[in-house]
Amino acid sequence: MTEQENAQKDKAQVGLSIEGNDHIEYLTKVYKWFEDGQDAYRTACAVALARGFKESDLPNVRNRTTKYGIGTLDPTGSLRDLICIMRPELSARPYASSEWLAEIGLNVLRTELDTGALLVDILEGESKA
Amino acid sequence: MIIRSVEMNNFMPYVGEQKVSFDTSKDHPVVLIYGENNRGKSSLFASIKWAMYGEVIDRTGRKWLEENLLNDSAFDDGQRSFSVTLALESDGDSYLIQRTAEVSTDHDGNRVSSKQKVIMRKNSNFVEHVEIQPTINQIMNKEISIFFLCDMEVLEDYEKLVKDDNLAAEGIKSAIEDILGVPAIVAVREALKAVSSDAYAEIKKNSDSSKESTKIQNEITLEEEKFKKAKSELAKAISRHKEKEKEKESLDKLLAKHEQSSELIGIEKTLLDQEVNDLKEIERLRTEIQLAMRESWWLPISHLVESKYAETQNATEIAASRNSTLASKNSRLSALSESLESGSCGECGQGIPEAKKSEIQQQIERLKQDIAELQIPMVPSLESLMEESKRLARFRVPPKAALIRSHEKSIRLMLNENMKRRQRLNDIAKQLDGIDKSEVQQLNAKRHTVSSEIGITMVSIKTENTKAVEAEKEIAALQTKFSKLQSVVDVDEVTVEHAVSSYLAVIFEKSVQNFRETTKREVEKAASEIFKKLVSKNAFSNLEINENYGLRLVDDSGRSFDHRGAGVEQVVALSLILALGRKAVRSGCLVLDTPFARLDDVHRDNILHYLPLESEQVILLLQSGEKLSSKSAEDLLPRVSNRYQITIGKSPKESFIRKAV
Repeated sequence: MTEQENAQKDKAQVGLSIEGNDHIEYLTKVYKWFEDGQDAYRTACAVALARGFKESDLPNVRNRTTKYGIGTLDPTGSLRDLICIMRPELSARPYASSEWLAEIGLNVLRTELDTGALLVDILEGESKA
Repeated sequence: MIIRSVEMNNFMPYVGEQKVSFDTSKDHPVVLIYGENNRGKSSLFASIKWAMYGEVIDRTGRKWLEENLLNDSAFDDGQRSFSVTLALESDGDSYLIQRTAEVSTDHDGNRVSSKQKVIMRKNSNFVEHVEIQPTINQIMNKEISIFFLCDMEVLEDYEKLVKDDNLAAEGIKSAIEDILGVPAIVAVREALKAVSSDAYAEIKKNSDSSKESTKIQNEITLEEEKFKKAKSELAKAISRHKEKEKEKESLDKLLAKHEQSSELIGIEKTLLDQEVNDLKEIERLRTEIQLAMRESWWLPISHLVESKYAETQNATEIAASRNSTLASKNSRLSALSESLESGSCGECGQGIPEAKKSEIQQQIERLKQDIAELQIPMVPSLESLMEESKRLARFRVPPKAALIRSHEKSIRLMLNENMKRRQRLNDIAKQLDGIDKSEVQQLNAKRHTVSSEIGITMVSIKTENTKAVEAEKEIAALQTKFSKLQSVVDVDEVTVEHAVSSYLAVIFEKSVQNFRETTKREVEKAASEIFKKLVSKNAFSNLEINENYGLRLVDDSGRSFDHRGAGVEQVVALSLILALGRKAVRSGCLVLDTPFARLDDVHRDNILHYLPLESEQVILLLQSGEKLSSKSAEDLLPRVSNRYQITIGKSPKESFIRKAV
């Protein structure tokens, strides 16, 4: 299956659950480590990828609603490429995979930040949390 | 000048102390001194000149060596000094001149030098040494003396006067003019010129100083205005300062009641300011972190990306090497196959031996086997590996973990600090509960403002005081300058002075010329008149005076007689001397040494008759042989006050002068 065929099958918009949205709200408005939610979304995907989470690791989330269009979220395709390179098994529908990767990553960030960990330690996977 | 006495001591032929008194009077103005030739008449004459001018000139015009003026007998007796004391009267003052000389000798006892000393008294008072010679010259200038102390055997000085172009005559002319008072009027003219010149300079200076004066006055006015303004501003500033000080005092009193709350309010404000600053800094750092997160959001997986990239690069290199080996083996297989088919070496072209052909066949088989293995497709392919490397490279941009860590730590520290600060603020808020913070704040703000205003008034006081002091100094300097200008003589006065002195100087210039000319004519007239009386025959109508006061004889038709006899020369000289004596501003003595040597009896009688009428004092040094005629005796003797006779002593080196009976 070609990338073009994959793209046709993949999502053009991604969504987040209530919890995911709540985390983004916290990270941008309370912790203020991200200027907007899309930066938090991409970083959360990277956190999930780095820590090797699977879709099955996704906690229970409610009412996933559309959040960002792919054109604004990933204008250069770097998120897609990173998912495809680092997790080739997800390369069929990388954006669709980004939804659960983001949900997990946001949860990790929020949870660990709430424990008082430094953001940089969380990002580098050295959080004691 | 009238000579009252001459006292000689070992002077020339006069040994020991010898005094000659000339007690002349208006009715008895004549003194007769007789002496043989070479006895001491001219020495007596010389003693007067030496006493006055400190030198003796002989008849050849040479100066005597002073040590030789010491009498020989006295010298032989071991005496080494000689002197002359002259008593004079001039312009109502009496003078005493005493000149002494000490003679030095060498080892052989010969005279070698002398040291002169002179003292002078004027009306019994000593004249200061430096003033002696000027005083004597004032009585009778040395140049003039030839016309009053006359050695009638030396007519050269008078003959010089005849020649207009004779430079030596200039000195005599000057002396004659001196006698006639020309220098006085010339001096007045010069003085007027000087006054005029000074006045002009003064006017010019005043003109300049007048402008300068106005300028300075304007400057003073300006400075005074500055001073007044500065003083006024200073007074205002001091007043303001006092007001503000009072205000500050009252505020301090009010604030003292709220001292604690005031301090707390101050701390609160400081803490709040710090909080604001920290929050701003936190905001700035957060923004930088946010930017870093946007630019390197893959930071969490960057270490995995790096590993993946390294693996991919490695796999790419292996795949590339495999492809290269396959190509090489294919090429070798092809070459061996061709050689085997053609039976010759593809490289050197030589035929392949049969034994070698089976060996080549074996190589071909091995190559085919290797190629078959290498041709098994690789997963992933070289292309896909290269593509993957390219994609991974995008995420190899250095992540900004260090920056984020540093900023995050700073933010955390500041937030902790902020929490503590907030706690402190809460505590302060509790302590200030019930206190009107705004009132205290207002008081504090007002006090702060008043303090600033006090600072400003202090600066104003200092500035205005400096201005006032500077203006005062400037005024003082200008006033000094102004007063100096004011001390200059009044402009109008100077202008008049200049005008008058200039005018007078012009008048005097003309007067000098007229005076010279008139005096000359008068001298000429007097000389002619005297000459006519003195000569035996009235052969010449007139004496004509030249530019240098020289006289020449002219007849009735105006012809001159340049070649004159010695006797006539002497009469002409006497005519001039007497004419000058008549016209002199200060008349006085006339000492004539050997006046009749060249004259016949008639001329002698005429002169002896005439001389007492022309001078206040006449001292005649006559040769013993010069007998007076009965006519002369009749005319002269009643007018003689004293008669002296010079006689020889035991030694020919000694002369004595005694009153003649």
